[in-house]
Amino acid sequence: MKPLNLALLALIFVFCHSYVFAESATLKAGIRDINGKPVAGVKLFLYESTNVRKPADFISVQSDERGLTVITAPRGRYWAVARLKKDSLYGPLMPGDKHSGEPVEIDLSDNTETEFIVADILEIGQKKRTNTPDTIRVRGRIFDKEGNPVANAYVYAHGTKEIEYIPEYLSTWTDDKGDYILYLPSGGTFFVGSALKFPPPPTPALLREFATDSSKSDIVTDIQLIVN
Amino acid sequence: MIRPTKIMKINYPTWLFITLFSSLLILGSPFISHALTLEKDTVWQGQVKISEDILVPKGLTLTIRPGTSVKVAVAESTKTDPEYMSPLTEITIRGTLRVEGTTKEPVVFSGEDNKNGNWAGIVIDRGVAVMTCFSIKNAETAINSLDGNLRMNEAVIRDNRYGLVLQGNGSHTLQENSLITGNDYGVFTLQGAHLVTKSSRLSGNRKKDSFVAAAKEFPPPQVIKTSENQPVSRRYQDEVFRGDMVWQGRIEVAGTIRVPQGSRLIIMPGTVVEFLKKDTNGDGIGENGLMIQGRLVAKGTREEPIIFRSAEKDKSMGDWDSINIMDSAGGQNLVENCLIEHAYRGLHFHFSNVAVYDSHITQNYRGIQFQESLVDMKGNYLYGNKSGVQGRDSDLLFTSNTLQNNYVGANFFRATITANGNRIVNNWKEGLRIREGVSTLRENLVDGNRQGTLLADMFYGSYNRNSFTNNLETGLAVRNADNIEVSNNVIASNGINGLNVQDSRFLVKSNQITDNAERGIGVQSFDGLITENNLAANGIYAIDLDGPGNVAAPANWWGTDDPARVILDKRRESSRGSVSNERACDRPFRFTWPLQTVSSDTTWRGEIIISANTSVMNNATLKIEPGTTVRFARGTGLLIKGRMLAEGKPEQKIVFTSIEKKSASEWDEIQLEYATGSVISNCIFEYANWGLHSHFTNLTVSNSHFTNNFGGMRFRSGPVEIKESVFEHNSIGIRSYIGNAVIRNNVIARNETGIFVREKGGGLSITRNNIFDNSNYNIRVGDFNNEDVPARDNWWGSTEPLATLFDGRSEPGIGNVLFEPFSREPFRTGTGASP
Repeated sequence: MKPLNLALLALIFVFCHSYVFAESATLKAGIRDINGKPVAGVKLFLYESTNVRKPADFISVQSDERGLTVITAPRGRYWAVARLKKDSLYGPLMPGDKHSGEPVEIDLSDNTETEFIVADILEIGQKKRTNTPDTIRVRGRIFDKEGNPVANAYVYAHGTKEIEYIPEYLSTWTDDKGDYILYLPSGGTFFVGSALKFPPPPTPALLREFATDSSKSDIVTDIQLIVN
Repeated sequence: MIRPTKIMKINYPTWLFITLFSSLLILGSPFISHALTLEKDTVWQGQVKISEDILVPKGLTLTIRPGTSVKVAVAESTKTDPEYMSPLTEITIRGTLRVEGTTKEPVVFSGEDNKNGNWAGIVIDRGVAVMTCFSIKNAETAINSLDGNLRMNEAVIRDNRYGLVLQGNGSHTLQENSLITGNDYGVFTLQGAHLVTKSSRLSGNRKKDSFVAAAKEFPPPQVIKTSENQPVSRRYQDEVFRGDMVWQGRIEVAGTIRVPQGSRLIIMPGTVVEFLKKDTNGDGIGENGLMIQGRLVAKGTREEPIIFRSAEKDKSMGDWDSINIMDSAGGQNLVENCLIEHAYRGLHFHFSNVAVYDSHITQNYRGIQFQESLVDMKGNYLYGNKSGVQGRDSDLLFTSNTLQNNYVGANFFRATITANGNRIVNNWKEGLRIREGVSTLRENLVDGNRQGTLLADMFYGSYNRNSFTNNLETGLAVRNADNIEVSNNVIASNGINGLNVQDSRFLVKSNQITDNAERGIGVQSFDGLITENNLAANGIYAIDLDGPGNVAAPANWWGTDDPARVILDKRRESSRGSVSNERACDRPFRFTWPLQTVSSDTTWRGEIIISANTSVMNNATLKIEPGTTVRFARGTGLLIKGRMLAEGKPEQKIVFTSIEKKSASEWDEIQLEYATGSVISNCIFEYANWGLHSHFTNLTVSNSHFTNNFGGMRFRSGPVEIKESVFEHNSIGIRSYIGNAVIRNNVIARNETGIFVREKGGGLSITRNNIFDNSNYNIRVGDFNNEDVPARDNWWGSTEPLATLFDGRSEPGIGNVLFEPFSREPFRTGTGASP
């Protein structure tokens, strides 16, 4: 190849390279799970419209061990979704795959950084669950002396051992499995009993002291009670 | 009273108020009406613009004069207040509507921007409409009659989504000299509505001119006993309760009871709370109720439920306001074993933690409404309300509830929902509607509603092992959804389409999508995957792709059809996209039946797995198609309290078998309990404990084969006819207990005992069978049978008949088998099983 041609090619390459860089921007994305831990293997999908239910216009490489991925695309406005597919194929997600939910609008008029949280339905359900930070949910079963579940009973809790008439907190009646759920203020100490009739007897035979750990504001704790 | 919307705005011109509240209202043109409940008989004429809902209550008349133009604005809100039917702007008639158009001066109803479906239309909700010379366009449903009385003459109904929708046995319509054309759908006659048409034309509607569907009635819930006679123990006006207030006995409320923060209202089992009607604003809805800002403990029991109801002599929906619970999230509010009726909203809560268990909520405008709350609903019946339950921005556990015969069953927006084991049946519009949020639906029955389930704008969702069946139009409709999973559901026997998909991308896998009247799946645009489904026996198409995009549908079973015949796509119309159907399966995928209770008419085809004991309820028919195989997991069985129609064909037997197929008694039995009308023919029963077990059932079994079971068939009472069948390689071929049966033309051979007559065998007629080579006895009479057993004219094999019988001649005191005369030659029998 003649030197002139080589120079021309080099010039074209430099021009195009500059042009591409001038017309493109980079999106750096950090991918985390709902507990804030980085997630590897996630791809970022960029769409030129809000319709993300179709093949993407641009797709990033997979995120690395630090949960980082980068994608370069022509400058403009995009809607981005992060997806983790276990089978590494394209197409709709399969059960257990994770994604970031509603598309996020990205202004890629300049280099940009952002973060995505990916989750499956169980995780997102947990995350979206209505928080009642001052309340703890206590869950378990009521058994009789022989260890059989008791239906049509309930659990109650009171701040003192003496109950004047109606305890402060009550569960619903149990089902055939003896399951109950009781909501209590967190960070308190209660005396917990169970009964078959409402209201419970004025002098309950067996009350168990139970502390609701305030550090576990939305944690389920199983307990077992005996109906006398 | 908390009812924050749909009130008249206060910036109307003064003249309008004066006019509105005159004794007989005549409105000149133009005026703008907002949500308005008429308080007087009213006349419209000239130009009328409507920007929100109009309600004509019972007892009042809205008259529309000739030449009037009614223009309806597009609704800005998607909110539906309980007394209205649609989120769009509507004219609701509970009283009387008179439309007095003339040929020269017709009355015109139209949407303001002339777009199809941008206002709701006219809803005749148990009211009366006499309409002459008028036209309606741009509505979702031009006229929707809900048990209403409609007479229409010289009408033009055009450019609506639906023309006429007539619902309910109490709906009577006379349509004369009218034209219904250019709508998406013309006339729908549903749930037993009565329509008489004279000199009218119904044609040229884009999707369907007419459609008739009747929902199967589900039995109503058991009525809660209410105490009628106890005297009123306490009466309250407007009051504030501080501390713990305990109610028991009969309570009368003539105001609003407020329970402030830190206080509790405790209602004891057996209490009756009655609310007097106070309607200060004349909207027909009572205002008395409860306002709980502390906590409510309404802990009824099954034996002693708590009743909340109207105190009026003639009780009706909306007589009182609601049990309002506001900002009460500290402990859980309990509503258990309660009956709540005649309210505007039975329960209404915001920012609260509420459990509603085992309660009946009926005859309210809306059963339950909530937002920003933690909600646990279990074991409730919500029936006969305009709207069963509506919730938003909440966390909902929704378990084993029944929503039945409401106008709308359930409507959730932006909620996190876990719904298991619910029955959502026979609701007049949608059974279940979910928009946005995160929802997990499992093992729910959505059956017999006008529309089954609508999902919209979803990014997280799992819909698994549900039954979307027998809905009058569509079983499951999904719009604007991404990432969701629709799997292992039965989507069958719906009146138009099984599954509708629009603007979505998700997984449709391992579903039983069969027997829908028109389409298995109707697709407008879909970028997901449809795979490993059974797509068989849908009326017109398995998949109808009505859009330009392509659809991936590999590895499905298409029944006995050529996929190209049951797919409507580019192959037939070039404007449509292409449905890829590669790797089509030549046999059905095994489908595990999702529900343990079959409570509506159901069809089984393909290969059905029964993984747990399953019951067919007494109002339901289970039809099993020829060629079907039903495989039972170990120890499971089928209890038929309704009917079972298992009619195979000689070349397409129906097989009832185990999963392992190794030895007898791997599965339990098919028990028919008062299942009269059941038919069993050309079936194979194998590896069961008992193939068939019939009690008190008028039953015919023919051309069937019972083999490798502990017992082939047992029965008590009858009448039973067993014919042309084979019983072989069982421990007992047939067992009769106080039986009334004809057993003829069968082969009963190579069992240990051919026929065992346990007790009272005199009612049997055993004749023209080949009964031989049974290793113990051909017939054994039980120790408690003291009657002779008629068994004449059978062939007993090559040995002396008496040697193959155990009866009174072997053990004195029990009956004899009357085997003489007997045949020396085998009979020709059915099923090709001559010895």
